[in-house]
Amino acid sequence: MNRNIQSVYVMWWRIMIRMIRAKGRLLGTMVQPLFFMVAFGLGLRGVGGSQLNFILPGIIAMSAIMSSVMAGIGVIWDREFGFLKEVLVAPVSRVSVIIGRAAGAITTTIVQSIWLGFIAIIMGAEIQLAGVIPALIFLILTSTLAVGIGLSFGSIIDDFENFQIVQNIIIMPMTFLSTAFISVEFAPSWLALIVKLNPFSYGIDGMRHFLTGAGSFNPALDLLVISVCAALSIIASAWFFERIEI
Amino acid sequence: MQVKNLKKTYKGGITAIDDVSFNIQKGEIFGFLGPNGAGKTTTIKILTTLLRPTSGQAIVAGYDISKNSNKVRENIGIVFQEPALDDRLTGKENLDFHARLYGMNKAERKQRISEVLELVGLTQRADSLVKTYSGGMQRRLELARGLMHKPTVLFLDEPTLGLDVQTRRKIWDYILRVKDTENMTILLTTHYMEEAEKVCERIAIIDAGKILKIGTTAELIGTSCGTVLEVKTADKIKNISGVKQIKKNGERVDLVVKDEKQTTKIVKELMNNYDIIELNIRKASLEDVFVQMTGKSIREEKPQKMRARIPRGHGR
Repeated sequence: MNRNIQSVYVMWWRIMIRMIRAKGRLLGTMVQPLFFMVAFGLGLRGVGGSQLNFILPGIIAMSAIMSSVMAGIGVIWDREFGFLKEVLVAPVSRVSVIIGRAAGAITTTIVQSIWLGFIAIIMGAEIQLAGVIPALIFLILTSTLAVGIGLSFGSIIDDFENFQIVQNIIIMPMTFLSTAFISVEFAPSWLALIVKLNPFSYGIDGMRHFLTGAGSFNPALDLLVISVCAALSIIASAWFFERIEI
Repeated sequence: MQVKNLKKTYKGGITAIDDVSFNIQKGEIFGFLGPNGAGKTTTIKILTTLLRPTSGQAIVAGYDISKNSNKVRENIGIVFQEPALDDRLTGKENLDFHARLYGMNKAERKQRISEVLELVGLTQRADSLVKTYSGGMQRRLELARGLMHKPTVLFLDEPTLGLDVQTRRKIWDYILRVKDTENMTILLTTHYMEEAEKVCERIAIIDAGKILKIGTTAELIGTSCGTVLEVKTADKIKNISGVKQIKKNGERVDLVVKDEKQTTKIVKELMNNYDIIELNIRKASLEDVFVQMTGKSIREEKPQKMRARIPRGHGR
């Protein structure tokens, strides 16, 4: 048991160390979403009234999903460079390895999101400070769902190109066809239906609800759907990771 | 270690190993000798629980690889054929990562890390990132890591592939020293003949997924060939009685003599009937045995090129 806890910790620790050392990439994750914020948040300012309050949580959520899914690249990366073998022959449960990896990716995402939150406030978003903690919980659940999807595909796929295809045909649509950028109240009904079928919508809606008070669904429903889906995705990733053969 | 009728068929019907059986005594150094693609690495992957066998059983370090894989994992150490280090971590961090996965506490980790670093001569470079290490240093670090948790069985898959002679000798010195002090069982694969001859107590010759023969170097050589005459001549040598095999070897021709006692007789016959430019008599080596058994040479292949590095920025 002790060994499995160590395993969770050491997987997490490794991701942290690597993140801190990869200065360029760290800078990239922090800077790139800013362009979206400026373009969507400020560039379209005149279009609608509370545009900024709606769009900024959406951009934070989008960035969170994108960076969380990258956890899957980590598995492919380790497979490519052989390090995965070191982990697979260790006498620890593979579930603990997955949890450690997920924890690492979620931590990275939280750091990025808090940073973007600050920028959002500076740009003029009206964020309810009391809602920050519950919003963080929704952020973590949303990130967990994305990490689970990323790790599942990372365990099945063994090259970078195919993972990019997954990002383009599964993650991108799931990000954009969600409450991140689409309001279910104003969207055509077919589009609203797609948005409602997308589990990410509930995590993002929960975040928005607590950050700006402008949610579309019942927050209890949000919590239920995103929690269940996050748990399922992590279980799926553990299942796929368990079955890796090299 | 007991291996019985191990078989692995990959999806698509390719059989990598077929009916592989052997036993290894505790404390023994056992070698797998065969060309690339013979099934050496597949066998190691199965025995180290990385692959599931299609059929057959194996007991490693006293535990069944299928039923008790976690116990097997606890008791084995592995140096993989291809590098398996995290090159963005330092040498020490790689070892610490490993030690934690094997459940070592802080005091044990500290002591053991400095011990193994000392053993492979990397103490000075312990805090440098692994990507700044040379190939030989990386190999030594992997060996150190494989020894960290004091495994009872050590797997070495081509531990010296692609290294220069000096480094190879050094690595073998380490391995033999450690083996004696910690009484480990070692299973290694190699296609460097001299290494296999020098280091292994027993050798299994493997080709195309099957074990052809198992024995000590002396046994293997003794049963199939005795002496080799390397002859350089402009003439075409015809069959001579007592010569088991004639094969071209560059400019020369190798005559394999099965019974050493016939050497003199055959040399005389050569001298009488052919115009000899050069004649060299030597004891048969494993290489000759290998050629005898498989009909092909196990040339010292160049190390495979590492797969091209993917540009950075792709992920963690």
